[in-house]
Amino acid sequence: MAVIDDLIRVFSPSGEGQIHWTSTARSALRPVLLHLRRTGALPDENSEVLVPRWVCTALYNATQKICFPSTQDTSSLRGVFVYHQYGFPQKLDRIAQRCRDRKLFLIENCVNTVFDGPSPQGMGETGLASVFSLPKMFNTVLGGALVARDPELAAFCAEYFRDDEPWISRLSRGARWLHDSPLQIRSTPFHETVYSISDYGRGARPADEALLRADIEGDAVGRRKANYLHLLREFSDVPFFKDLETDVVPFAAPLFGPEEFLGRLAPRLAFEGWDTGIYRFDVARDLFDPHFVSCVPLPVHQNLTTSRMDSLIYSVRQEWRSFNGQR
Amino acid sequence: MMRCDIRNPRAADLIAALLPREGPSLWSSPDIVPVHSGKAGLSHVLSYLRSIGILENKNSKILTPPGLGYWVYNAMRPHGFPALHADPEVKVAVVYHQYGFSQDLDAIKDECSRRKIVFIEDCAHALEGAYKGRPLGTEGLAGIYSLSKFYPSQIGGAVRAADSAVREHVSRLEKSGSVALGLFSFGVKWAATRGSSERGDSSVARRLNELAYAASPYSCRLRWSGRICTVPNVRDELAARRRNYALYRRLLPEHDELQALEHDALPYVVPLMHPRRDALEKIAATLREMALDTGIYSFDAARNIFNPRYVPCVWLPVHGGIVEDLVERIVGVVKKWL
Repeated sequence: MAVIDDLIRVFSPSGEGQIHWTSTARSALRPVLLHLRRTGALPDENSEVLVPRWVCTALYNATQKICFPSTQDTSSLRGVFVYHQYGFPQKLDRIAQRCRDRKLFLIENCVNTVFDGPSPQGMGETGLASVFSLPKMFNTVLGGALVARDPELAAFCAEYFRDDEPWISRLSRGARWLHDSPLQIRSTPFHETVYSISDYGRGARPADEALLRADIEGDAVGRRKANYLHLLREFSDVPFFKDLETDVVPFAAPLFGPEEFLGRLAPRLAFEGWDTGIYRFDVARDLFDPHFVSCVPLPVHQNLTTSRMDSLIYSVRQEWRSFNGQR
Repeated sequence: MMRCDIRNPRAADLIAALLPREGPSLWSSPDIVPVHSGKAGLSHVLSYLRSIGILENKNSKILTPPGLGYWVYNAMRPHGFPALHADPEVKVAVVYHQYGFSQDLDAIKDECSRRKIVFIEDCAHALEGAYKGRPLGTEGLAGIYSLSKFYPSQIGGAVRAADSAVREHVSRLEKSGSVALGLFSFGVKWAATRGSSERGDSSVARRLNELAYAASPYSCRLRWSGRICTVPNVRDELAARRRNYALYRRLLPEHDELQALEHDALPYVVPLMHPRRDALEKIAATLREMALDTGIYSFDAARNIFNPRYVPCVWLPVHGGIVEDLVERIVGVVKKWL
């Protein structure tokens, strides 16, 4: 089976639209914005696109090259870039209606999203395009995916991806390898510099194909989902994960609780080697009218065995008991 | 003597800048901290504002003008969120003295005071300008300068601040900057310039240039960038600019918008404004055919970032590589289409 079929399975369950395997999520976003500039939907580089607060620097930089990211809903907005944070869907019905009313384009930021069946609430299947990131959800070094649903955009992308500047992807891959390898060369200046042009690298490199295939054949999506549901079950007696959907395969599970508790939990987990901290999650799930609350995202990725998950659960449980005991 | 060209620097000038030489140093003021570039200076000052809590987090808004290079916004992003509208969440304003022509600093100071906003002066195009007799770069918390806009150094910038805490913070970051990235940034900018001038604007040259821009805020200062202005071949660059600007004003006496600009400014380029956009486009196209770097841009005629009024303009170049008869030919083009 071709790798593109694997991508369709995990990123485009309905099979609608044209899917491209790209070098990074940034390089998936670039042709979408270029197309919008070409068609006049984004008249110039000062045309504003609504993005969520806390948008990651890499995507901000890639966007800023073509238009102007804004966190403010103004009359000069031309479009929105909806982020399904940690893989939990924004209120797409409401957002899409608002976009239609105001003639705004809608792009979906699905970098934390993967599917194990039909898309929940139209996530990844509502905007004119959706952008995915492979390394966030799989064990690949680089890689992104673009699902282009608008026919004109799809035609433009088909042409765009025929060309490539492969040295850029190789450079990004090298930097990423240095970061993740046993050498652990983690230099913000170096990596920020290299990643600043990664959006120009277009096509994916074959090296990631084997990694993606191994992950998919090893049921990475199923294991991620199982870890997430395991967390929900274990903490069904505590409102840590209140209102979170069960039909998603998230990047991480945002744990909510009293600020003081989160302030104790995050450093404890970090000390134990878990890659987490205190972040803000939009509980309103509405880019136009967000409501950010503090959370500690708990990892659920496929590389965590049941015993590792149990160890994480034990730490959270113990900290919660300690917190309640002292109150 | 061959005149210098800031877009095509000579290795001999850069090497000469490394040699000790008597003469006025551009950055001799105690208020000034030399840095790798204007972008590095801006990033360091915003880092200071983040360190003292004016910029609370990455979402704290920084009011900026539109139309800057994306790399300028990217240099701001690690410290705050660039915004085009002066909403109540704005904490810092970057006041850009476009092309060397001052913003209305009295009005801006009043607005900032009313809104409790800290402002920084972006003097990338205003090396020696003044506002009502006061030097640009001295009214806000800090002034940010870019040497490579005026001298063939490729890199180099400075932060001017009366507040010693700002200078110490900037100086600390400058000293911790990477030598390797500094040299890399210079090297690729140099290579990109050569590639651009000799083999056309290839995509590799453009990408290398972008890498250099991204590396800039993390790079240390390179010594020659501050001394390039003392090299005999380039020492008169600023005087040549003033002469060229004065010549445009003398040869276009009937052009009201040009005559309304400050006569004593030291411009990066001269913004030729006119209500007829089609005429401006024809001028720009003809000048580009003459291998001049120009185009249609927007100039803030209101000179107020809080209440701007952008009008189209064509860049008329004034740098030292532009000799007098070329100015006359450019004026001929302007007169033909206006």
